[in-house]
Amino acid sequence: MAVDTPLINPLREGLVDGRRPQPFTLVIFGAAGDLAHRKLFPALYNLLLDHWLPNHFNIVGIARQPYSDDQFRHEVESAIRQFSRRPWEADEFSRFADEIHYITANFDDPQAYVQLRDILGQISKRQHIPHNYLFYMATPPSFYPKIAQHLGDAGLNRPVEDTDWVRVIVEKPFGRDLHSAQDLNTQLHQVFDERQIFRIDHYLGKETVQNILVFRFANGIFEPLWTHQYIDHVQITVAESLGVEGRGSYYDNAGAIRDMVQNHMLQLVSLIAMEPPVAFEADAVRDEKLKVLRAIRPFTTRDVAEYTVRAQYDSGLIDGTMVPGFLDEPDIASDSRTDTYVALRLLIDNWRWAGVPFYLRTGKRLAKRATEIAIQFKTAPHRFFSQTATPELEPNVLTLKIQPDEGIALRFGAKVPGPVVRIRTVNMEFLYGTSFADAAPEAYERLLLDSMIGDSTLFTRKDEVEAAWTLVTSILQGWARAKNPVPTYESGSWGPPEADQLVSRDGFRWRRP
Amino acid sequence: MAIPKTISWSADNLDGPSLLKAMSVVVPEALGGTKPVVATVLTLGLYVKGASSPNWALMAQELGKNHPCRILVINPATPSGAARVDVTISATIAERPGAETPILFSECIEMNLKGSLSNHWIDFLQPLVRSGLPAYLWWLGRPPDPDFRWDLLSASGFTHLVLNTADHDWREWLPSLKNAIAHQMRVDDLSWQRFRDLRHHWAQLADTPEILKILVHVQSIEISLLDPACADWVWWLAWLASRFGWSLVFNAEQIPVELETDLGPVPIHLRSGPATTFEATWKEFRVSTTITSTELHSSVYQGHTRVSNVSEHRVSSTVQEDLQHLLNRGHDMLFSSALIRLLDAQKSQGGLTDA
Repeated sequence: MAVDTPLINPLREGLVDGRRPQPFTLVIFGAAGDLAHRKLFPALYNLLLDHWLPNHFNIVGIARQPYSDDQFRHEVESAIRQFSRRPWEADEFSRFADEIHYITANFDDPQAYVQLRDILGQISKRQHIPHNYLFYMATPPSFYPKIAQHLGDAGLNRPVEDTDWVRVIVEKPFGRDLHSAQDLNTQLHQVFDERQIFRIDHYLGKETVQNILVFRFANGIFEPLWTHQYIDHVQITVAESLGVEGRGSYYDNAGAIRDMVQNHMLQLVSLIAMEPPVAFEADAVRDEKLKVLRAIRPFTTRDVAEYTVRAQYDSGLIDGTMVPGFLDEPDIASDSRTDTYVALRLLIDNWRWAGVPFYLRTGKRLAKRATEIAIQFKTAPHRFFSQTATPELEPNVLTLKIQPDEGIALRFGAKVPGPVVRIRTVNMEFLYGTSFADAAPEAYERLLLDSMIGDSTLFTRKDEVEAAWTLVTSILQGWARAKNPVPTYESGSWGPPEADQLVSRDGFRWRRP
Repeated sequence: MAIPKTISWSADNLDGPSLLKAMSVVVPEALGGTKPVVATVLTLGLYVKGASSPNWALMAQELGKNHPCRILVINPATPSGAARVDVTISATIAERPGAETPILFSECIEMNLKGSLSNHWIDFLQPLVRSGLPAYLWWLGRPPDPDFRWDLLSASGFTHLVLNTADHDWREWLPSLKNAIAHQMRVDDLSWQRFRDLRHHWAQLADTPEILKILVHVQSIEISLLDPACADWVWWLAWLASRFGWSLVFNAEQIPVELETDLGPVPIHLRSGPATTFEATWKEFRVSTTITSTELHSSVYQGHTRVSNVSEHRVSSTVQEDLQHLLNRGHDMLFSSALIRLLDAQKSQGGLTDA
């Protein structure tokens, strides 16, 4: 009697923590840079400590800084010591990677890719492991097309065997407008298939952002309320108290709308507003997110003037210390019109969200660091408490706190004890940090692991990126035509008065996170 | 994670209502009248009568520092004398910045039950189990007696039974586990938790189609044990059987001696040896895993030729870490499936009757 070998490995089924990648080699372009040191090496080390890495794992770094393999290993070690969320353990690091190599080269040097191909081939041969390669572009975006092209020329863009895989992770910013994003997509697609490309938006790696989907779709009570019938409006705030912090030349070319709105904030909008996907799988989730982005009402030039606010921070006090204004920061042009603050009103033209405004605001040098999504519900339809001592009932607000105090709060009215009916607003609060004993992993840990496994659910797809840029580009074009001075706001405040007017026109006011 | 500010309180000879009252006032009094926000997400009972580890009190306190739970240490000290309970309450408080209300991160109620309460502890405990939340009972001692009131335990709010088969012969536990399952309790084993790296390792081996084929067509199983008392091999076999849809066959001593696969019976050869090794053989192919305290080392052979090799560093953990892992992840359905294979084997052999 014969039995067929099952197509799916039954021993994988049901394993708690069953996501273990196959052996592979990670190639980091820009391995001497800040991202690799602050985020990638510590994330890999923490994945190792949590036993997520496969039994064979190698790193090849490429950058212009002249390092030997040993010097590069030392760099990796010191980065982990300095930036890892977990303490240094020499024994654990000793098995961090089977092999660590470094190539000193310019990214446009074809010979470097020949050398890389040789090293990768030797590693696979020495360790008897598949030719699985994960390329990480931790470089300035201008290098992405060149690196991709050279990888293609060296034949490193395609798997050696059918069972091997080759993937490439691309960091933001992914373009600076719709046209450049489309160009970049075209250039990458000349070398890689879409399924090989992992566009990283680290916000999606945050536990609290992923919890939006769990909160909405793993609980039965919220989704029936999640419509225009019950929701009055939505406010999304991403506030930073920091300034440009030495990234002046980058930031002056980007601004808050490119740096935060096009990627992080529109991702939050799409997660809040999407329909339930048919499965928690990459394309099912991304299809639904894309529908939201495409349903956002486009901005005409008049809409830009009416429903967007941009501003720059002026000097002011942050935590009691005087900080300079944006135009006085290093590497910022004295006549810069770059936005350090953006507020928008979005409308989503679909059945669920008809008539529900989404207010977005983000800025640097605001009063405090806070990221939250506040869903304000409509007030009770019949106010039979109106004759009581509480004339005005506050609406219910459900707040999803993304950072720094991760959690969920529901504001509702409760009776004040006593013979008279008085109603006071109270908060029911869930604190993420106190309800689970496990520390949350860093966003890069989750995203690196997903890319090793080949799960692109938490990465943005080409059409998502382009849909987001379509919206943002229409705003950028409207701003480019405007000749009025860019408003300013005092550092340490909550933004310019124009932003308050944006919401007060509709009868609302911004929350104080 | 909580800042481990600990509050302690103790009293002798309390009755149920005064214990409940003490629980509601001890922490606010220590916080100057402030009622803390309660963060506990489950109840964890530790039944410690006859526990082999004397460190359960320390263990309970450590668990309280790391997991937001209400811990009930149940120590039926002596059945003689008047009914009384002596209690020590400790609580871990997490301070919050500014004027924010502090958080009651965990609380530990250690109860020494005497007189008739040592036998009727379930009734006494019932009001202390947090309602509407999971409640785990870790049974540290020998398995309960056959007349144990599983119906009362289940009705008291305990939803999960936790044991550690590394401490007791797994065969002694089977009747109790059958009863617990019959009363809708979920059962988990800390020893099973500890061996998750072996399951991951074999899952990784079976990702290779050639190795999966060997397992599907397996013709014999060879098990060599360094420590004959170690029962990990039983759970490994039960897991394989449950994943591939096979049955286990016991001998008269309730030791697995055969796997019933789709292709017929597969003998299980068990012997003592210089190392712990699990092997599956099909024709000239053999998959072999050697298990040490630090490493899982597997080889695949064709005849005498080794065709591939995989080594993995082992995850070491303490019992306390295993328990935390269980509390964080919740019940492991794979364990239930594997346990059912053992219960079925015992039933086929006539060792168990329906509850």
